Order: sequence, then structure tokens, then C-alpha cells
Amino acid sequence: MEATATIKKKGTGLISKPLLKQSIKANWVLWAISTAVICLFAALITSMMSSSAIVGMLKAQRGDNFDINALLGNMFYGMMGPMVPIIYIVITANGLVASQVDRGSMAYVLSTPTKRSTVAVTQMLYLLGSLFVTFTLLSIAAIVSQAAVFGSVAVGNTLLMNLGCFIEMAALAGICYMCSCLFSLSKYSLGIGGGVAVWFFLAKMLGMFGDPAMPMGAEALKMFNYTTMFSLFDTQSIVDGTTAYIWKLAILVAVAVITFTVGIIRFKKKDLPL
Amino acid sequence: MDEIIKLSNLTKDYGGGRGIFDITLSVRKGETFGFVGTNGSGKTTTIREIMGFLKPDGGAAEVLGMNAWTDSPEIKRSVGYIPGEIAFPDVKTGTAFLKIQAEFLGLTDMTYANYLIKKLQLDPSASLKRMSKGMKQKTAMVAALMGDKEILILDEPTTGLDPLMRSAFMELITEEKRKGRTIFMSSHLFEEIEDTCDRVALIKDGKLLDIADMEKIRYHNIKTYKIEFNNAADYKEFCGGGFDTVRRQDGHNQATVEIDDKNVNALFKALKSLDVKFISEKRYDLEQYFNKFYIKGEQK
Repeated sequence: MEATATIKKKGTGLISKPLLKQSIKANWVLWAISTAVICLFAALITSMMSSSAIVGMLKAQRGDNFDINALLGNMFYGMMGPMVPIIYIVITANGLVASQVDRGSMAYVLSTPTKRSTVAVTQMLYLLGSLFVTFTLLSIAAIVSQAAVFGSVAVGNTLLMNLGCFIEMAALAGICYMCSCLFSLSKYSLGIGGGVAVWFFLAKMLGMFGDPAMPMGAEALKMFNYTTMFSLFDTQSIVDGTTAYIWKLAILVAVAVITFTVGIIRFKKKDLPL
Repeated sequence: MDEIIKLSNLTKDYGGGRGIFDITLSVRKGETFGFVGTNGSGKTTTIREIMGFLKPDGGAAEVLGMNAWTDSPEIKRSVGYIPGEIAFPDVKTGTAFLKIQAEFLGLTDMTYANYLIKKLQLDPSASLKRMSKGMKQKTAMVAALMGDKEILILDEPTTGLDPLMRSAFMELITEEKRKGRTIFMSSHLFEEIEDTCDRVALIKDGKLLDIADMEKIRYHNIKTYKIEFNNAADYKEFCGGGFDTVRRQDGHNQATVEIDDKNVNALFKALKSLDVKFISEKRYDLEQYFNKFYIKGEQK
């Protein structure tokens, strides 16, 4: 009787421990590599900046108030930095649901008393949790490398940059996860989720080339900023100390909430060819 | 409750005539129920409906009185399942897979699992990716049976097994049967269904054609005999004897007759005075029983 009671508890819970364990086991290698790469990347860029002319200028101008995020914000968090987590998100979101439905291995989870909603929530939690740990480690790497290179750290802004980047990635994860739940074939889930991610990234890059501050003279490219969700992570506003970044991040949070919810509901109701 | 699995007018229409249509059947407690049909006839779709993986377009599937679609997690407490396609989760070895599966089931005692592993001569420490099809199938079997569930749903469980392993598996099924388990098993092989099942349903193009009682097939009272005579005269005399001749091969002096068991003495009396070369009984089996449906189907 006692055994049945424990089974009952496991089946009706909101998250499934064995599934979470299985997801960690299946994805930790890619997670570890991408996290290591992005942390190393941040540290390298920080240390290379120490000798650049702009940093010297900024330092002379602001003295102790010097904030490396003025540079790192736009270049790293706004641009190159997310590339690695984007790849991680696209592959992992597909692997957590669609690929398991496509291959049929989801049958083994769903032939146990585990609810579909439990499966969907657990997989979402893994995806968001792993990203959260990535950005926590990235925050630590950024703060440590700033302290080592410049002797001073803008802790507040560094944490805001990381939080903003995490929210941006969570919104993208939501979109990819929704695709993973909508489609039963890996090729559609990967194709559409990955396609959207690549578009957002490229459009952001093109939009940046249209920035008047860039010596490109191609201001028309600015219009690309309106075609990418990544524009809603306003690094400039964080550096300037204005509040515009707050409502923009709020939109990204809303995107994440909506897409994850749609994904979970769809997964609960759809036909599974298992 | 006597009806463990109950399908009433179950329909899943994939369009273009594919899917399953109006399937009605019930499986009683302790019964081993076979489900046969060619590839693509709808066996797997029916099983997916019972497992709650697909939402029916019409009708309903019930297991233990619960709706297969809405109460699926509850039903799974009593169900062991072998999927038709073998694709394991992304874990390294068979042991790791079985361990995680035991966790999903809330299973702590692995005695029965180890017994199954031994019985099937499985080496679960092998890498899942490098396993042969047969080994994968065995691993899937252990995963399905180790929970010692009331109901077993098996989608072509013997695919990929060599004949020796097939009989080892069949022994396991017989054991489960003895324990009073209810088993629903699909196959495209008549023989294995014949040996284990109590009743067998035939499905073709998504429609249920017939449900056969194996008892009646095994102890069919009308037997078929093939008799060859040494000379044409005796052969002709026999053919004129009023027996129900279903096939005549004049060139070989061979006649095939159907005789009810209670008339078998009349046959022997008639043969007594004739010069018989050989007589053989053609076993009446499931294939023969179902053949009429296939032929009928093709004529349509």
C-alpha cells in the first residue's frame, strides 16, 4: 500500500525527478561546452579591452566611475555573446520534446504514470534552469575578469546585463520550446525554431551596422532592428542608466511566458505517434 | 469488473481511407487477446489509442473503466507497454535505461527485473546504441514486464527476435498469463498468436473483420483430409462416395475432403476397400480461418 502511495505522488507531481535527471544526463555535455565557451569568451574580451584606446579614453574621462559595460554591453551581451547559448537553445529545445516524439523514445516516459503536463513542465524547467545557471556562471566570470583586469567592477550593471541577456534567451527558448511541442517531426521543430533564432541574430547584427555611431554609412540597415526580438534587450539603456530597458525586458518576459504556456498546453492535447 | 479493455466504435480517421474505423471489441480479465493484420492495417493506431497517445475522432477506448484519453496517467499504473518501434531515450547503457525506467515506475525492488534479464539472456550493460535489434527488443521487454503490471499491451513484441528467443519470450507470456494478467498483443505472425491467445481479432484496412475464438479453431470439428489413391478407379469410386470434396486433383488421384468428426468412421469404412497411397490431415489453423476474409476483401 505504501508503495502505491509513493507511485501516486510521483505520477501527479508537477515535475518528474527521473525525467529531470534524464534530461540533465542527455544534455549536460552540450551545456557544459557552451557555458565554458561563453565564460571564456567574456573573460578574453575583457582582458583584451584593457589595452584598447577607447578604454584608456573612458578611464581618463570617468576615473573610478568607469564601467566596462559601456563597451561590453553592446558588443558582447548585445551581439556576439548570445550566439553560443542560441545554439544550445535551438538544439536542446528540440531534443527535449520534438526529437523524443519523432524518434519514439517518449513512449517510455508516457507508458509510466507520468502525466503529459508533468513531462512538459519538467522539460521547460530543465531548459530555463540550465540557462539560468549559465548566466549565473557568466556573471561570476565577468565580475572576476573585470576585477582582475581593471581593478574595479561595476557589479550592478554587470548583473543587469546578465539578467537582461538571460531574459532574452528565455524568450528565445520559449519560442524554440513551443516549436518543439507543436511539431512531432524534428525537422520542422529544428527548422522553424532554429530559423527564427538565426533570423533574430542576423537582423540584430545588420541593424547594428546601421547604427549612426558605426562608420558604415548604411543607416538604412537600421530598419532590421524592427524585425528582431533581440532589439528588446536594450543594452544602451542599461549603460545610460535610463529605464527604457525595463519595459522592453517585460515584453521579453511576456513572450517567454506565452510561448512556454502555449507549448505545454499543446503538448497536453496533441496526438503523439508513439 | 470483467471488461479490462473496451473499445466502442473507436475511430481515428487520418483521411484517404487510412486510420481505424468503428472498432468495437472488449478484452476480459485474464484473457490473452491477439490482434492480427497486415502492415498498415491499423494495429499500432489502435494500440496508441488504448495507450492514450492519440485522441479518438469517434467512439472511445476504455481501460479498467477509465477513458484512455483523459485518464491515461491513471491507467498507466496498471499497464506495461512495448512500443512497436524501438527507440530508447538518450542514455548510455541498457542498465542505465532500466534503472531510470524503474524510477519512473516508482520501482525499488529489481528482483523481478533481474529474473527477466536472466530469462531472456540479456546483457544490459551493453551500450544502447550498439545493441542489435533483438537485444533492444529484449531490453524493451524487460522494461515493460518489470513493473509486474495487471495489463500488458504489446505491439509486435517478437519483431527482431531469433526463433529461440521468440520461444523464450512466449514462455514469459505464458507465465504472465498463468498469473492472471490481461494481455493485448499485436502481431503479423499467425503462429505466435495462435499458440498463446484465447481470442484473436483480425483487422484489415482499419476495420475489424472478425474475432475468432482460438478454442473453436483448435478443436474445430470439421477436419480436412487429403487422400491419394494408387489407381484411378479407386479414386473415382471414392469421389462418387458422397463426401464433401473441396479439391480434386485428377492427375494425381488426389482428393481433399472435409469431414465432421462424427462422420469420420464413414470415411474409414469407405477407404477400407480402396487402395490408399497416403492420407494426411491438414491442420485447421488461424490462417485458414482468416483466409476467407482476405479473399472476400480482395474480391470487393
